[in-house]
Amino acid sequence: MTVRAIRRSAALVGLPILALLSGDYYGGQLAQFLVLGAATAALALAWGTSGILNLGHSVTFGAGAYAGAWFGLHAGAAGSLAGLVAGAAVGGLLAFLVAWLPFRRGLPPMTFALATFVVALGAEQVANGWTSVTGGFNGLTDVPRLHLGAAALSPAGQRAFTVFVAVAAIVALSHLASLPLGAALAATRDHQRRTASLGYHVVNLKTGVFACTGALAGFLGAIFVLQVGFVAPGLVGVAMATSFVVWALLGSKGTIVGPAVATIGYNIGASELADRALDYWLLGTGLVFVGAVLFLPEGLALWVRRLLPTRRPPRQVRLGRSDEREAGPPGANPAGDGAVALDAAGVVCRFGAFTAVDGVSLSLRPGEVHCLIGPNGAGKSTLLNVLSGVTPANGGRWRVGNRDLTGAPAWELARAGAARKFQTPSLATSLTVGENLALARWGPTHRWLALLRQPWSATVSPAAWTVLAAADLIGQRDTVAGDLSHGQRQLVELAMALAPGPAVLLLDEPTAGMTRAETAAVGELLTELAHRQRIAILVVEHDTAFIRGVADRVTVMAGGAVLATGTPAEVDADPRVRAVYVGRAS
Amino acid sequence: MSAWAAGGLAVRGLRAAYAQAPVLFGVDLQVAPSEVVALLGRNGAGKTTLVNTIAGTLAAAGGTVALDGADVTHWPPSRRYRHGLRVVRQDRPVFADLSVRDNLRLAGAQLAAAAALFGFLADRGQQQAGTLSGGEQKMLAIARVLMAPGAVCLFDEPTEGLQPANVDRFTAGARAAAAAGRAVLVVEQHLEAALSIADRWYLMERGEIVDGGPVTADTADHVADRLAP
Repeated sequence: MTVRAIRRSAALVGLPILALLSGDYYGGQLAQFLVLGAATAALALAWGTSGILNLGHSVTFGAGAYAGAWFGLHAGAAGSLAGLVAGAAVGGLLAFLVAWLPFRRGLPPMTFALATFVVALGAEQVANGWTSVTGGFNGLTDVPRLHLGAAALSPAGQRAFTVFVAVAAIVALSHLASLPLGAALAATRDHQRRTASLGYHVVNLKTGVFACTGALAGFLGAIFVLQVGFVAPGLVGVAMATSFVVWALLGSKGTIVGPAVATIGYNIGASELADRALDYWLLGTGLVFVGAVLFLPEGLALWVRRLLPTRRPPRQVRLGRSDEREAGPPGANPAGDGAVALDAAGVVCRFGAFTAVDGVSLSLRPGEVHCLIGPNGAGKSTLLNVLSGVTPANGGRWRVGNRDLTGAPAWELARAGAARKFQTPSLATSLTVGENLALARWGPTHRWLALLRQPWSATVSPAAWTVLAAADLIGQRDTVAGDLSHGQRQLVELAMALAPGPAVLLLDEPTAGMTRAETAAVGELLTELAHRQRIAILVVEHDTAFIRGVADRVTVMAGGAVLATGTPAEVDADPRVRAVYVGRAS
Repeated sequence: MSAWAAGGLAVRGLRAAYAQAPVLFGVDLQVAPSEVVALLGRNGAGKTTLVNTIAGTLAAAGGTVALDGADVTHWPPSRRYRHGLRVVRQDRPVFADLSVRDNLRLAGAQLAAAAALFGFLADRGQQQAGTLSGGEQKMLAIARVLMAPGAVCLFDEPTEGLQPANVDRFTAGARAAAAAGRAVLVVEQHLEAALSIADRWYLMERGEIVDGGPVTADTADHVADRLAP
């Protein structure tokens, strides 16, 4: 058993026993605060891990509490159990409704956060006004404790139950964050567009995790009401919502246990101080918060972790290299030379009145390196963005292999075997090289539930392995990607694009920021990948020496349209190309 | 000590670290007024870290940075800017929500002057800078520095993503800046572009300056040998 497993088991057994032994007052407080702590941990998973700030976390927690109370009061002996189910359902449904449309429409994170704040404002009004169900200002009181069979639990039994459930919730959240699914959430937070291009349906991922944290908060709300016996409008309102956010911040929102512990610590302190110095505790805690934000912006958990002499080693990702013969690209087209790997016709893309791409047609054959060149602003990156599902087009059709993928979103393109590398490095900077590579490898083929069971190992394509080996990056698999230099990130990204063994590779300036020697090495590698493994490669580049060395064909764009297509020699000799592109006699 | 009095940029024994990991180990480097200096080196050698430390966005762990004779080691970036330091960072360093004209105006550069360097800017004054293409944003950032006053100019990978004709325009602009008495430091991967305009060069390896000198006919071969894997 690992140290972590022992620690978790001890908490699951020890804390309920502690609650049993602590007597009605302190035991009850422990139970109550632990439930709040678990709810804060759920917020931390949505906010810290996944980057979705929720300023209305109290809505799902409070709605769950109301649902639990209503069933407990109105549904007889089975009511308390039904209330737990109803709490989870109401919380999950509310969170789903709040998140669904904004995520689908790509609302910026801060706008979404403000929307959740408005929901919390509205929820408090509803709780106050809908008297027949919520009891209005007074709330719902005398909610019975959990019934098992016909009899309600004793106060001590209820405490032990509450504590056990809360600890189990925190343990489950912490475990979830450490799984590949947690890494996929972190990657989405760090770079959503890129994560989509790896094959992840980021909208579903975000909506899913938000609904799940809502369901958990609703469930914990129902537990909370069983423990304390009443619910009032304050529990769904903005003050409560703000408290959750502050507790998460105080405890390090990027962790799970930290926010839970901070919640408990804060509430114990607050209740002790409220008894002794009623007039000043609010002011005092306010000062503590301001101080924490100013001097401990990372939160307590990360601060403590930094002080500890032994650092937790980074997660070891086992990387392997797949057998060359087996590594058939998912979208590979076994047909002969007449086959087309990617075919685009009449692509149009406008930004307002400006036409960035104006009826471009282009086809990529399996096994060719096709360079896309043109003056700055010719529309090359926009074309790549359209073809890889990042930017919506205003016209045209395109397919990968035999699949029509016109207008398909980025994740679908990735799943069809078209990999993309962006112009600027965009890997998940908080994850290690190994984690980034593993996510890239799983992207096009993963299923959500599989990400819960997936071990931390990945078998990357021989092509990706070659890049990693050449750049000496295999030894750096445990390095956090944010600590790499610009050029190293470029190479990791190239390896990520290659990891699943794609049939089509779309590269936007792959050699930017590389030395001549590195550029030459990448050129050789691309030629080899195309010619030996029949990958179709489209490269946006400016380096003329590089293009002459690698290109089988070249397409020149200018002003959003295709100016010329041909072999490097043909294009080189074209006076129009010289005029717009090189602009000098060389 | 003469370099201190002479102005330009003088770096002495500069050390820097990310978190606890040291990245620069006592860097000495100097760029005199009217001089273009190329800083070369492999990926991960510490070039960008050095630029960030000179710019003040990364705190120095030791050593000094002098600008125009003043010790600026502990100055914030804003004060270094007011003292004449201009930096074009490697990523897209423009104000994405502002127009092209406002981006230039903030730095004290005129649209007409910028368009004299990069012609496409002439009729893009009203365009939001964030909607320019990657290369165009880079050129806007270059023009913003080259076409406004400032005694010391730092360029981190300025030609990355630029078409050849625009690389030529940058090198011409950088030479002209030096001719006007400014000190120019260019961090470059493209040896030819860098050495074609530089008076002197430095080579960085593992956070230290390991070689350097005036640019001569065989500098390119010499450095290429050292950069070869």
